Amino acid sequence: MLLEVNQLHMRFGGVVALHDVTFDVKWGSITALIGPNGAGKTTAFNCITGFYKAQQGRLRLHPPNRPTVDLVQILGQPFSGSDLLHPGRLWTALGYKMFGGPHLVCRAGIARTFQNVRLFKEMTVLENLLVAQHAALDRHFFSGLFNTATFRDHEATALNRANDLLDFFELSKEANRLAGHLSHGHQRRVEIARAMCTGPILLCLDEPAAGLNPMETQALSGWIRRLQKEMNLTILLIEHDIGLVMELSDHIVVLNHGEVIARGTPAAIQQNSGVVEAYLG
Amino acid sequence: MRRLLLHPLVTAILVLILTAPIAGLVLDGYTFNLHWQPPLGLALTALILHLVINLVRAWRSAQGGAWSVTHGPIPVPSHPALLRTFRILLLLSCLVLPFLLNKYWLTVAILALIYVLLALGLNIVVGLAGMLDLGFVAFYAVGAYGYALGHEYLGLGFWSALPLGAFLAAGFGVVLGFPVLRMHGDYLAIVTLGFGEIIRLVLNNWTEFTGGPNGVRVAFPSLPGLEFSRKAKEGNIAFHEWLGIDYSANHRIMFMYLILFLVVLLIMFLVTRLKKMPLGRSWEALREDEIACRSLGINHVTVKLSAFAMGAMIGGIGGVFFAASQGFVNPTSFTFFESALILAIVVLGGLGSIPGVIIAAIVLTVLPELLRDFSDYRILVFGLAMVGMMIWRPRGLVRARRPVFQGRQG
Repeated sequence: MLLEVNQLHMRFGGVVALHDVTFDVKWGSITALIGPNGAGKTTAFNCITGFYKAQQGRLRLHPPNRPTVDLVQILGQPFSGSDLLHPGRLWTALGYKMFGGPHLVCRAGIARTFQNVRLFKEMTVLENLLVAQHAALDRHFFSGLFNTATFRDHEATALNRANDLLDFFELSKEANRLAGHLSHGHQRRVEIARAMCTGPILLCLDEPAAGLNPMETQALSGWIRRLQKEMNLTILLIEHDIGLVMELSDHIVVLNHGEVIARGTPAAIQQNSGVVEAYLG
Repeated sequence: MRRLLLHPLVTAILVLILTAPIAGLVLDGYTFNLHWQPPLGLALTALILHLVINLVRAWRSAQGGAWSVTHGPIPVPSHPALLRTFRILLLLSCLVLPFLLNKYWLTVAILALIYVLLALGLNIVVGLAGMLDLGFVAFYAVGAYGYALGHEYLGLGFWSALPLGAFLAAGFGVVLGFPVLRMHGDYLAIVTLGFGEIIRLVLNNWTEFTGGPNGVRVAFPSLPGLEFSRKAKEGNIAFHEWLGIDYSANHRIMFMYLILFLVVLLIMFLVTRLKKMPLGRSWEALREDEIACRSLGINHVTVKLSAFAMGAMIGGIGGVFFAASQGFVNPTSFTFFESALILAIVVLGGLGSIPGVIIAAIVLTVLPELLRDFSDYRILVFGLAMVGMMIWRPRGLVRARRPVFQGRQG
């Protein structure tokens, strides 16, 4: 088990967006999160990737060979009275409060893409991929200022990695074009490549096939498979294209009105009467 | 072809019709006199202007539509050797410049360089990090007053005030940065505007400490043991005696120009390098999309604060030089108009483009001096230039260039 989502609650004012959502993402699997519009898929997604603070429940990432990360704690939690009795805990909480946030979720190994592509439009494709690799670069101020050998080495390594990923996604021709000038299909691929640049364990794709034509969707499905197989990646995806979901995923979680109504393999989900009812009304 | 000639002609006729009654009819006692020269002149000017615009347009479109945004891969700059020669020539001419100018133009040149510094500083905040700062003059004031008050109370010299003023301004940058971390666009602009005014009002009203509107006197910079006055103080040598030449009040200003020029070069180097460093790239990424930045593990707090601090630091250095070159500072030099001017320089020059911003800074400080006779219309022309630029070159004089990477390395 890589990601553990346990009794997640989230409400916006009077609207209960997530109620008691519990599911697991297995290491090395492709897990799909599906459900009708407004079911709370994106909310769950945003909680996992740290863009919303889950109000109740547990979110834990269990990376292999590394300590478990509490994805709720690193966003910075309100102080509680008992913190005052444990200076160590208070100190940690204060640290997360000041410097915590979604960026720590990414550093823990979760990368994501967005439903409406969010590229750095006025920067070139390669620059987009370099920005994502900032953690692997030599960020020391003076080595960058004087362009030292270590700095250049790090930059060249990052550039090679970016080029490898562009080759993988068949985007090499677009390397030096502005990201905003690419077609929608290419932009989606660049965004996935950019997320891959952060070196994730878990890749979260928010509707990766939205706005793609059937052929592009087919190609995308191939790439996602290859990411899982060749790069040992675990993938969590939200998708409306049921064909793609059934073809790709090992495990499906169905949400409706903020609650999990079914979990299981694609075949089991297809037989589930509750799911059919939720979709057809 | 027809449009090329016909449209200007129509314009000219329209101008003639419109201006003939206004500029052509002159009241003479109880009768009118018709003067044809002024309206004809105006119409002719309109004709020529329109024709020139049309010709330029035709030429541009023949060149393959260079005014439109290029959609292909970004072109690699050609003739690197030519560019290098041009740069060296420019550098040399800037170094020779102070020996050719008279005192008045030297002061103008110093002012232009100070504005180059300020624009480079604001360019980091607005152009690279994309945070609209309408109170940049605050950091300029902090630098200037840092030197002035440091000299007054602590006896600081120019050389110690320079780094100190820079750090002080950077500190103020962080102080401003913290509360505005969550703000964007308009809200950020208003807060920074307020910050700029607060600094000015404090300087104006804290009379016991800052001297209020009366300002503070500042010492001119000197080298250790050398002075630029006619008669040196005890233990020092006057610069002209040391070199064995006649005394001239210009020496001090030339000296000032040369240090300032050196500092501008250093800052240019700094900013150019920053754009290629992970930090500079993060700034630009933050300008493009903050949420995407955070999803990629970039801590927006440190990135924003560093942009504020770095921009403020450069502004502070500009302030120290301003104080040193004027010999006197008071709060009237740090009004909102200055902020607006610096922002206009950055926008006109091209957000994020270093050469563009430098050219705009020089043009916008030197041009008003050249057009002293038309000083009444200065702001009018300024406004017209802004409107024109926003219509025809919304990205500024020089569009920021993106780095091009050549395939695989190593």
